[in-house]
Amino acid sequence: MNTLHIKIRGVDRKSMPRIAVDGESVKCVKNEFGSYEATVQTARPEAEICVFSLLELRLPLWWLYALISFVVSVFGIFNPPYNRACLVPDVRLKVMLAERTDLSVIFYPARPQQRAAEFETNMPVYEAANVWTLDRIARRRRRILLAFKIVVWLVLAFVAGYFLAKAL
Amino acid sequence: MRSLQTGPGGLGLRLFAVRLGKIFSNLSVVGLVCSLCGILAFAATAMIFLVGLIIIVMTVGLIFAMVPGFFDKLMSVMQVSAEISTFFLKNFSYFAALAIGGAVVSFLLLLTDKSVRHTGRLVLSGLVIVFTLIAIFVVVGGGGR
Repeated sequence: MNTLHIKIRGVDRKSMPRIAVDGESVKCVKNEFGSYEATVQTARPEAEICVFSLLELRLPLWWLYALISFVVSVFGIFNPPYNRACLVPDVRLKVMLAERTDLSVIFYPARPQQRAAEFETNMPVYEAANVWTLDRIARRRRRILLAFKIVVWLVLAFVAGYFLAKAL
Repeated sequence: MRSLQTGPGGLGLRLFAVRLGKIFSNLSVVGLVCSLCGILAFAATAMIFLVGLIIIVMTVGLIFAMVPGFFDKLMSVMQVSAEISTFFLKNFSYFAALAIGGAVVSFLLLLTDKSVRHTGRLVLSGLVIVFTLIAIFVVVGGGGR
């Protein structure tokens, strides 16, 4: 059985990327230095690692979630903002495994089309992708939500104005 | 490699739960502020009256000559303050329920996220519950309700 120890550094808490090893999501634990660590055991001689960020606006029922959040948060007043940058890391790599393999993934600040991370390991690594990408779908959906919010607020202002004028 | 861009369903629901948790946390803070407003507005009324009395004593009553209708003005300001206080105290139970209910729901929803610890929000929810309970004891003990 091979053991793969993954350490992620250079990420802030909000944009904490998630890791999948051979297609299976892996749970990360924060250590005392603020890095995230995960340990995976596999019988295979290599592991395919995918580091990804899940934007809320890329969920299958994003419109339903957004609508419920909008209503519950009193027309968006108490709704935390969605990720403005919509930048997600596209990091896919294959690492050869020894009995114990340590892999450090050190992230760079998020900039579109820039290198996303560096790797430190005692085994060979093959990068399939390593870049910050702009999620255009999430960005378009964020704009749709913003437009929806503005329209609802305008309608509310007109309705309130109408009833106020009637009352006076 | 399998794309995980849209993520598994459970993870998506967890993100939604965290968002709802944050919304309820924000609502609970509003509930707490409104609950405290009832008590603080009551204290503000007393404070206005006290300041008015101090001004009268300090000026040896000359304030009435300097500011015509001083007493009427003082009373009208106190009345406005008392009306605000009455509104908040009248609806105190609703505000307190919003604060405690929101904080508890927020606490439970934020605990569902195993990958990120929302320590700040969890502490905030705990503080909201504690302060709202104190406000309830003050209002019930003071015969506000």
